[in-house]
Order: sequence, then structure tokens, then C-alpha cells
Amino acid sequence: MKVEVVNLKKYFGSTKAVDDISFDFCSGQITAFVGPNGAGKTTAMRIMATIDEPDEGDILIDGISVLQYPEKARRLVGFMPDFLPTHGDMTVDDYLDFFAHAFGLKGGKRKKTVEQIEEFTNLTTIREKFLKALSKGMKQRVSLARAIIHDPPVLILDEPAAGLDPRARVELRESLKALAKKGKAIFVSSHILSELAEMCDTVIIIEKGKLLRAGSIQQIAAEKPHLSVIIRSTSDLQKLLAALLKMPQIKDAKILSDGVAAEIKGSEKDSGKIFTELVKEGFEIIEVKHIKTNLEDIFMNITKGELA
Amino acid sequence: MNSSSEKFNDRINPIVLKEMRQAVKGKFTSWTLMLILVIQLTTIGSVLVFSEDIGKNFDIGQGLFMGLLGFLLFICLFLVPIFTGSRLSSEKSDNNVDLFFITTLKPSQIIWGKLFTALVVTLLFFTASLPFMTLTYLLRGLDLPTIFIILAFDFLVTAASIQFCIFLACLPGNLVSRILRLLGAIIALFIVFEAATAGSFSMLYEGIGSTITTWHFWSRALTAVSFIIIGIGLLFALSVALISPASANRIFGVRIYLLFTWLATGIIASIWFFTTDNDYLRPWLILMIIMFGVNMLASICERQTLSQRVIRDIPKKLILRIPAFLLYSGPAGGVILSMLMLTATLVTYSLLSKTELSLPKAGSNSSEELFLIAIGLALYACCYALTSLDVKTIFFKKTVSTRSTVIGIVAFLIVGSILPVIIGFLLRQNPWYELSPLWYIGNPLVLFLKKKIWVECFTFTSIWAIIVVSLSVPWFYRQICSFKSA
Repeated sequence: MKVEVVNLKKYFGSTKAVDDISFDFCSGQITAFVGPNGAGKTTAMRIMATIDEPDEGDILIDGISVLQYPEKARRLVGFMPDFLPTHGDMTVDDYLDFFAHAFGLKGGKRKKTVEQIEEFTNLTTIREKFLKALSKGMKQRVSLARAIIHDPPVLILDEPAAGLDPRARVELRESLKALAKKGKAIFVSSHILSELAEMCDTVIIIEKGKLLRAGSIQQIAAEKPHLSVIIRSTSDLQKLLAALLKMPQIKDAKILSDGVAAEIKGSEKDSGKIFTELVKEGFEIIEVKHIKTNLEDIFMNITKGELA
Repeated sequence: MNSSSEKFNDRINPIVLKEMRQAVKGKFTSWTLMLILVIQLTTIGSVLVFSEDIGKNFDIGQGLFMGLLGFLLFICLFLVPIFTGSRLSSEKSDNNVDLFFITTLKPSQIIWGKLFTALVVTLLFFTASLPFMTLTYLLRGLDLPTIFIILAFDFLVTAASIQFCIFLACLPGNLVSRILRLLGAIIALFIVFEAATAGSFSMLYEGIGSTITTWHFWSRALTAVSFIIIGIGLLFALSVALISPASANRIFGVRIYLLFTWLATGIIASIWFFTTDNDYLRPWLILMIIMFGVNMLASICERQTLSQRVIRDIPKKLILRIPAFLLYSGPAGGVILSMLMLTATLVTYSLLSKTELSLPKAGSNSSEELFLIAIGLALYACCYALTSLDVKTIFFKKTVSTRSTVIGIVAFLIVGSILPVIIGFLLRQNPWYELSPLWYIGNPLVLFLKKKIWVECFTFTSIWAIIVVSLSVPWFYRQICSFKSA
């Protein structure tokens, strides 16, 4: 199962909410969809879920166009929107049963599926509670349960972790990993980048409706033109800092509690030359630690925080 | 759950099941039912206990029945429709309807589910009231067939009111628009309540139950029922179109239904015209002119580019592509269909009533005058719709959205109706009622009020129509070409 987004465009008047973006993702993958507020994430996701229609371009889900055959495409997609279920006067069980029924599940199969989903999403103990009596975290779980009730191969999740406490976030992460292991293609947007980094295989970054980067976190991190290192030394840190800042390969440096953090232009080979020079100048180097680039760094480096 | 009830559940529309569960578990139905029972029981009990002339007064049954009916109608004509409409409206405003659309549910299932559940709740209220109402029969002054006929008629009116509120709830708009729609609904329901109560009174005092074996009763009853059901159907088709996704071929159902309405009501009106002294062709003519005139104005506001979903459904055979152009979502097809149907209505009326087209003269009968009014209304609708379209396509092609064309129509109508009067007032310094009728020529209602200027009216609208049709020819050509190449 492959989801292909092809030259997708969506305008609201003169605003380009989604501006010619193309990417794809596959079964068994969790793909992060990140961008500043107003970047066009929700719009793109609503088009994927067949709720909205693009002005140009298309999305192919297993080769089925969401534009031409939304009825077929929506059977393949489970969508969890960024708003919570508001049918306050329904119980969790009735709510899920309704959506199972609406997706064409019948008789005993429907009952069994609802029970299984309730168990998977830890809703069994609250199945008879009214939705209005649930906390935000519980409602998010109900929303996830609704999205997977018809066992779709593709899951589109818009801000599923928003407002969740740390425990609920961990549970959600584990649930999504389990679903990915079952072979589902999961496409998830969130502003909690540390969460995404822990569970996502690939990342897609958009801003002002335009695609900035798409690929694995490692791939995108490798594009970074400089290395970040922490140098621990027994020598005077002020002198070490001054020596580093004089070197042309050093982009930036600052003193930390346990050493000096430096941004080095170039590759690991270039960093070796710097350390050799420092030792030659008489500095006692205890440790050189490479700082791995995380999703947050990538995001901050790539985006400018501008609205579409 | 046993297998037969499971099978039954599977066959029911999921929306009906959901709404019924909510109705059973919610407070509205149970509290209202309790209120109906308490009020009816108290009223009947009080009359039986405290009325001293119960054995002598032969009208006491009638009075009591109308009292109980008035209360029941208040509940069913106000509370049930507004409750149903506001539930749908709030579901729509918090985007939850979007979630229905990504299931396999069809928009028609959603509307039908809401309507059906509201009808079941209404039936529950009627059924709960029935024992008390039939008890009034024992107090004399009315017969059982009359009671049942009145209740059946009022149930049908309630169904129409519920569908009307569902239609209002489906209209797009923000909070202000929702509040305005609620106020509009309350006013409209009040008028319906008044009319239903008056109609029930009239049937009661007429003793309609005693005429049940006559053709006179059945012809009137069937006509009224047909018109109410056709009205409910039209509102249903419009509601379905309103909640369908913009990219869907959503106008198709409405246009098919309009053609069906035209034919069905035309047949009923013709039967009445040829078999009785009642000339129902005249209201049919005016209704159809209004219906297709409004359809033309609404068509102008449809999206001008064909969506992939519409293109997908366009038939390949040429013989089917022509009706598809007229009936599928798209403004040009809608305008041409309206023009054709307006012409067909006028020709049909002229042939059936043997009315000829001639300007009013001494001795003109009302049928000829009505025919002219209908032609005039059709011309005004055409002029205003196409003027708005031309201004949009020529001057505001990119800056004004197609949906906003409706604002243009309303603006032109206001300007055309009021501005000349203001100018006339400023130039002549005369009060508005002393101005020459020609200053009112932009207002379609002038046809009803100022017979003297009909010649000027027709000359003016004909020239106007020729200009706007000529200006819109390139647009029609582009639309037809785009449909042909799809």
C-alpha cells in the first residue's frame, strides 16, 4: 500500500494553503507531517481524508484517486481530525457502534470489532460512559478508535497528541507503533517533535503550503552543513573559546557548564583537524562529543515560522 | 442480541439508529412526553370534574379537543422541528458532519435519518395524546373520523415543518446566520401553527368526517396531501444537495426533482381544471415561474469548473450528454434548463387554459392578465440573473467568488427596485406614491401593482434581456465547450 501525493494545490482566495506539494509514504511506516501553524497541514490531511477537494493535483491511495473515486478511497483511510467527538449524549460503545455500522460492518462482526477496538485503545472500562463525561485524553482515544474501526490500511492523524498528559502520550505512541507493525501506513501531524522523533521513520516538513523537506530524519540531518560538538577540557575554557573562535572552520561557539559547545563547518574529517590543532596549541582535551541532530533542530533550521 | 434483531439493526439506516438511541437516552423526548401526558390528563380531568353543564353542553367535546390539539401542535410544530434543526446545525458547525461523510453514509441517508427520527418522536407524542383526544368524542360535538382526519392532516404539516427546519439547518453560514435562521424558523413556524390551527378548526366545525365517503373530500384531501408531500420532497432534495460535498454532482437530484414536481403538480392542477370549477392552473403557473426563476438565480452561483467527480459521471453517449449538461451540477446547464422550463410552463398554461398572448385591453380576463404577469416575472428573473453573471464574468472574474454572485443578484435587485425611486424623488421632489409608475420599472412587483405600464415593462425587460443574453453568449459557449471536452 502506497499513498502518493502528486502536485497538490489548494487555495483559499489568494492564500495558497497547499502549494504544489508532492511526496509519498508506505505501509508499515509512520510518517511525521510537520510545519508551523498555518503551514497547510490540516488542509492537506483533509484532502487525503476525502473531506475537501484540491484545486489541482491528486492523491492516490493504492492507485485510487481521492478526486475521482472518493467513495472507494475513503474505505482505505481512517481519519482522526484535530477536533474531539462532540456527541456528548452518546456512550462510547454507541458512538463506536454507530461508526462501525456506518462503515458497513454488520451483525456479530460489528459487535466483535467494536469490542476489539475498545480493548486495543483501552476503552473497555469506560465503554458505557457518555462522551461528555470523558477527559480530553479519553476523547482522543475514542477518536483514534473511531478512525480505526473499519480497519483501514491508511491512518491520517491530525494532532493526535495535542493536550495529552505524558502517560497518555506514551500510550498513544505505543498504539501507533503497534498499528504500524500491523502494516498500516500512518501519517501523523504534531507539534510535539520529540514525540514524533521517537516513533516516526520519515518526516515531511512544509511551510507556507510549500514542501521544504521529505525523507528519513537521518537523511535530512545529514544535509546539515555543520557539526555540533561539545569539547570537555581541563584547560581554561575562556582561552579555549577564544582559540576556537579564531579558527575559520568554526561557525559559532559558547561556554557550557562542562565544556565548550561548537558548531563546525564541514564534515567529521574537518573536525579532526581542529582537535589536532587544539592539542598542538597545548589544550588538554578530555572528550569530544558529537551532538546528534534531532527533529527539533532540523525543524528550526529549515522553517522560518511564517504563515501561508 | 439475537440474530433476527441483529439483522433488523443492520438494515436500519445508521443515522436513524443513532438518533433513536440519543432520543431515548436524552431528556428532550422523555420530558416532553411527560409534559404532554400531565397537561392532557389535567385538562381532561379538570373539565370532567369541574364542568357543571357536561351533560347539557353539546359543544364541550369540540372545545376540549381544540384545546388539547392546540397544545399538541405547539409541541410538535415548534419544539420538535426547532430541536431537530438545531441539533443538525450544531453537528454541522462543529465539523462532526464531516466525519459522517468519510464513512459510507450518503447525504440522503443523513437527512432521511434526521427526518425519520423526528417523525417517530412526533408520532410518539401524537399516539400519547390520542387516547385523550378520542375521549372528547364521548363528550359529544365531534365524530371519530373528524378526529383522525384532523390528526393525520396536522401530522403531515408537522412533517413539512420538520423538513423545513432541517433545510434551514443545512444552509451554510456563521453564528449570526444561524441566529437569523432560528428567528426566521420561529416566525415561519408561528405562521404554520396559526394556519394549521385555523385549518383544524375549520375541518372540525365543518364536520369533515361526515364527508369521508364523497369524491369532494377525497379530491381535496389527495390534492392537499400531494402538495405537502411534494413540498417535503423538494426541501429534502435541497437539504441533501446542501450537505453534499461541493465536488459531488449534488444538483442532479434537485433538478430531477424539480422536473418531477413540474410534471406531478401540473397533472394534478390539470385534473382539477378539467374536472371541477376550480382553476388550479393559475397557482400552478405562478408557483412554477417562481420555482424555476429561483432555480435560475441559484444556478448562477454554482461552481463554474466541473469537478473530477462530475466529469467521471458524464455519460459517453451524445444522446445522454445533452440531458446531462442540463441536469448535472454546473451553472450554464441550470440557467438553460430554467429558461426551457419557464418557456414550457408558459406554453403549457397557454395551451391548457386556451389563453393567448396579447397585451391587456378593455375586457381582458384575469387569466390573460396572469399569463402576462408570469411572462414578466420570468423575464425579470432572467434579466437579474444574467446581469449579475455578466458583471461577475466581465469585471470581477478573479476577485469575486462564484458563490458570491448571489450577493450581486440581491444587490442588483435592491438597486433596480429602490434606486430609481430615490432618484425620482430627488429630481421631482414628489412623495414616492406620487411618482410616475415608470420609476418603479426595475421592481418585478410592479407587474402586480401597475397594470398601466405593462407595455413599458415588457419593452424594458425585453431589451434588457437581449443585452444580457448577448453579453453572456461567450460565457455559455465556454461552458458548453468545457462540458463537451470533459
